[in-house]
Amino acid sequence: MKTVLNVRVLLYYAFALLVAFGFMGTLLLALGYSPINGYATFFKTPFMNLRAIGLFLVKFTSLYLMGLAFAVPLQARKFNVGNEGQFLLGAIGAAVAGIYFGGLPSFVALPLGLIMACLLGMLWAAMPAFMLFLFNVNEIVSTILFNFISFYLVDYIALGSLRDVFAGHPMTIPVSNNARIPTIVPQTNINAGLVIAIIVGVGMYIVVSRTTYGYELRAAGSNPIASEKHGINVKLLAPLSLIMGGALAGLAGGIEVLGYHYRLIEGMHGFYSPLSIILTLMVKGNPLLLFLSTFFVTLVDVGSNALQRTMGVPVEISLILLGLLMLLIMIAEYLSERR
Amino acid sequence: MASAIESLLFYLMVAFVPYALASYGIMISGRVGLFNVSGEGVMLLTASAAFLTTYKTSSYMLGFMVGVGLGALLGAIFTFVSDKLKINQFIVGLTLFIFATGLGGFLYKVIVGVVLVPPRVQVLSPIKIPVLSDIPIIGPMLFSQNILVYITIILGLLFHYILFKTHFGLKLRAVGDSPRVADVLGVNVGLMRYTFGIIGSALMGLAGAYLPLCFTGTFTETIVSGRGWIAIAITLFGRWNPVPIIFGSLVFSGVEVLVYWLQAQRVAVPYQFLLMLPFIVTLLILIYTSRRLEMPLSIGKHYDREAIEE
Amino acid sequence: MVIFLRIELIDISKSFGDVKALDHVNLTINSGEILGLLGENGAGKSTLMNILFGLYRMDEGEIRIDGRPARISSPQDAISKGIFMVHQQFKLIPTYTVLDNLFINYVKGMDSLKPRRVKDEVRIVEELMKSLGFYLPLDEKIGNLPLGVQQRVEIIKAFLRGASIIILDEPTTNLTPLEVEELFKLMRDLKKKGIGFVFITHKLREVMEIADRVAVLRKGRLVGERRIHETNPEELVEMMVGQRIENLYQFELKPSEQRMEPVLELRDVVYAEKGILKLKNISIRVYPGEIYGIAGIAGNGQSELLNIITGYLKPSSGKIVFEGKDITNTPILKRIELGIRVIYEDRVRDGALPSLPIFDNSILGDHVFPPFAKGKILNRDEISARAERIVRIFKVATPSISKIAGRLSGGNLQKLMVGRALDKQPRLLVAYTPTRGLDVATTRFVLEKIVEVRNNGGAVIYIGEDLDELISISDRIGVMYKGELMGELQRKEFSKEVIGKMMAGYRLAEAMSK
Repeated sequence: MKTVLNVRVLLYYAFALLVAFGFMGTLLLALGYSPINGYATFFKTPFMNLRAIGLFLVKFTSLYLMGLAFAVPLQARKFNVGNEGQFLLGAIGAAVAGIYFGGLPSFVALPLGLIMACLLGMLWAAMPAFMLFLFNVNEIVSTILFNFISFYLVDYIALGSLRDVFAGHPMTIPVSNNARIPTIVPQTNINAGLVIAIIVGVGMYIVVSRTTYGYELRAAGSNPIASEKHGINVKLLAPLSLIMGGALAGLAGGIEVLGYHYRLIEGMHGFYSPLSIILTLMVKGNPLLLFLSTFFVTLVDVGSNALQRTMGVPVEISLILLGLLMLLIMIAEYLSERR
Repeated sequence: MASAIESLLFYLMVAFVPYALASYGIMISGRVGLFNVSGEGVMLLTASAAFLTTYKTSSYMLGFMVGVGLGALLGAIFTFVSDKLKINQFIVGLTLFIFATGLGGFLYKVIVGVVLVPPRVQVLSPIKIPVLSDIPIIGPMLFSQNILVYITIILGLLFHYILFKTHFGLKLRAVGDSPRVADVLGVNVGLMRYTFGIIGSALMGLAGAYLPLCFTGTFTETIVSGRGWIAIAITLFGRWNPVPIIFGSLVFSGVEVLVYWLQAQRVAVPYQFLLMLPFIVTLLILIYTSRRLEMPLSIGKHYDREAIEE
Repeated sequence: MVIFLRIELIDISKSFGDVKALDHVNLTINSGEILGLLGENGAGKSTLMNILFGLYRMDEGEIRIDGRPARISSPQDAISKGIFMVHQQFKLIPTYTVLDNLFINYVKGMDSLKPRRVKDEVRIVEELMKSLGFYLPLDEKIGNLPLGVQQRVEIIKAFLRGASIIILDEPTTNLTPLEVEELFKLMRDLKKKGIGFVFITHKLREVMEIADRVAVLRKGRLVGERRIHETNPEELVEMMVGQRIENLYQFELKPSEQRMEPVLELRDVVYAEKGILKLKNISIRVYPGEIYGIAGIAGNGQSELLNIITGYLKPSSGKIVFEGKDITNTPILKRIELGIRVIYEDRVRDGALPSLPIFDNSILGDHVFPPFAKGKILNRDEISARAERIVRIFKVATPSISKIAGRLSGGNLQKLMVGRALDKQPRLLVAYTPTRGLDVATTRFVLEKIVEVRNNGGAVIYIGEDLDELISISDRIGVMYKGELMGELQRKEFSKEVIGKMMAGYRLAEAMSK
């Protein structure tokens, strides 16, 4: 009985995927591109060679941590749309620390950079969290406003005293070698950040599903009134989960700076925030399933970038595809629950 | 000096429109129980589509129609998914925000491509109201504006009249405050939700179309720059009432004009911090508003006629 | 003025999921007559009437009005045909004025876009009130009015829409005896004017008093129909309950031991909310091996009392002592650890985690204590074991303990909540109408379990609305009225009449002497 149901659900999901990719093919066709070439580029590029795989894994790391930053507060039904700003603050923290404290030995400079990244991400989430705690301000609106502020902050820093004057695009000078995250596969960008993300992810899974803290988060998200009547401090938990999310997003920013770009670059967040929101919603915030959905969404992101490079199809196709897929998944779930 | 003030006040009204229209949209959807947070994305998509339409056809009418139409379509999807499929409205809103943001940028890039000098359209010319427009200072501000400025003000007053002075408004508010009460009294809750879910999003679409056609004359990916989110704050500040929303929108267009003016004055503050100002003001307003927050009582909740109530 | 209607419900069936709520029910309703619709909780009375009112869709069957088939697919249809339903929970918006509530969707079509003529509206309602013989403050917000007055707003609403058949769903539940008398008088007056009533209730006495005809539903089936002077209470009980569950309200209360130290003592507890006194100097002692019943109309401070005991609310003044220790400022979780367990009145709002599985639901409140948690780590095996145990002992119908709680039926969810509170023998159990919405057999079962807590030496505070139930299981009963304890009765002094009077605001001595 139960397995039959699961097969049904899987079928619905498969159908949603099929329709979404069908729509993408149709869109390409309508715009005069070859859908076959499109699909081929889309699915082959990420795994073309070791370098491509390296790039794929760098993005995977960031997207996964960003997803986690959205997923943890989601347990308490809080929407951390501000993971974008928190990511950037983490990137700022890592870049500044990596430049100023780069003279320290590696075993100090690197952790320092990552800790700074987490701290600044937390700080950026702490402000809306306090607004939620003290004034009950809706976190969607407040965290988004902090995103906008962070864009200008990045612009200020990337064009300020740390600016790399030889670069055309606003960016800082590189961080010192001592602060960089070591690569684990030579000749690629695959770095230890991936390992950190996986460890943190498994850790978060344990926290969410196996600890009293995670239980209270889930309970608060499911029914705040009942939770409060059974001794759970809902008022404090929800803001706390946002701050945790901030640390995770900040870590993502720090890893991307210290493990890949080696500097703060304006616009480095790309579509991370919208993509991470969708990939988290797809699996309802389960940290383990998140690995799967992140894999898929990274594929879409890298594939879309490849489409833009080779065929000139705007990269926004990733958002269209995933937004549509999410809507289809909602319909699929409705149908599967109705039997 | 006088002409400088005249020009600032003129732009105060020009910048006022998108805030007010988007806030009306959020307000009227909320009044039937729908909290639609997709505004920022809807505005980006409709700004792009309206600009492209007018750019290619030179018809402003067509541009606005495309904007409003796309807004309405997204509103229909929003209402369907949240009301019929009973999915959390914030999740639906965020998904549509992402989808529409992508589509808006996509369309522009496909049709215009990446070019050094972005194409422009003339912004819609003002309609001068005879005699009144010659009054110094308020003449240009209030009586020498593009037609959308007039429409926006009239629309606000019309919403106020309908919501609080008519039976239809009573019914509309009842749907947002208690769909069950409304249903039991024979109100077609679903129809009301679709109607105003669509109208609300169409208003956001109108706000989006306004940006390139009446304000900037060109489309960029940052054209909306948070107005869709700020509109939510304005709506909360106005406690879902049209007249206070007009004032709230004026505050924000005031901040926008102030930032512009400060930049022009070359004040000794890095421009990035000036540009942060609107968002900081929004955050402060949200804190201020929280002390007397009022929401439609059933906003964000699904209504299921056969569900057992407790 | 009133149009005479004859409504026939023919072969109506309706299921909710796997539960058959109505099974081929036939019923005739006439204007100018009061029809009692009698049955236990969950018998299908409200469901049947919600179908007639267009709120629920029937699976099978037909409705005829004056012999012609009628299609009623929404309340709009029902209202236009002269049918109006006053639900047990009034359909009024608390933040709107009486006048606004009356006129929601009153004017339709293009006319509804014209300016409202408030003066005309007031005049219409005032005339109506005059003809009905009572008065309502039209500018007052609904939330500020007592429930008895709110009920009249509902009745005016029906009249304003030209109803000739008015369905009243359990209309006396939240009324004082005096208000009930006034309601019955109004119903009799209106009957003479040709209005028909359907009076949904599970209270026999009231049916015998007011109805002309009575129809009895049991488990979704129509068991029988009688003219009121052709039947008697004994026969109706038989019809309601079916084959008699022996001694439904008889329990073996083991004789309590010598009075020891009380488990719970409230000393002069006062609680005020926004300047309004909700509890006035409440002093109660509850001893081990005792069930202390609390009677009263809902909304007289019972919820506040419960929340004060759990620690969710802090008393404005006074002391709470538990087993000799002052727990006035002890947090909720600590009180749970001490052995205070609660069955909340509103199981969905206050007790359930609807989007989480049964096993997560089974430890809410216990989730930080061993054996379910070791330090901060949850013990999945212990949690599953508890969930399995509750499901087994309390007969929660579910395929597995990983089923999402929100998908359980109301009765099963209730059993889960009761099971959670009773899984470990409580030192003190506070139960607020734990049998609401349960069928007879389950009611009996739950009451037995509560008596078991008592017989095992636990203390129980039982807040009830059904006097029969309270009287059957309580050792003592305290009666609450407007946040005050009107007095306490010992088991041998129990009298429905006296308790009823106290519920209406008389103190014990007054109630006894009258």
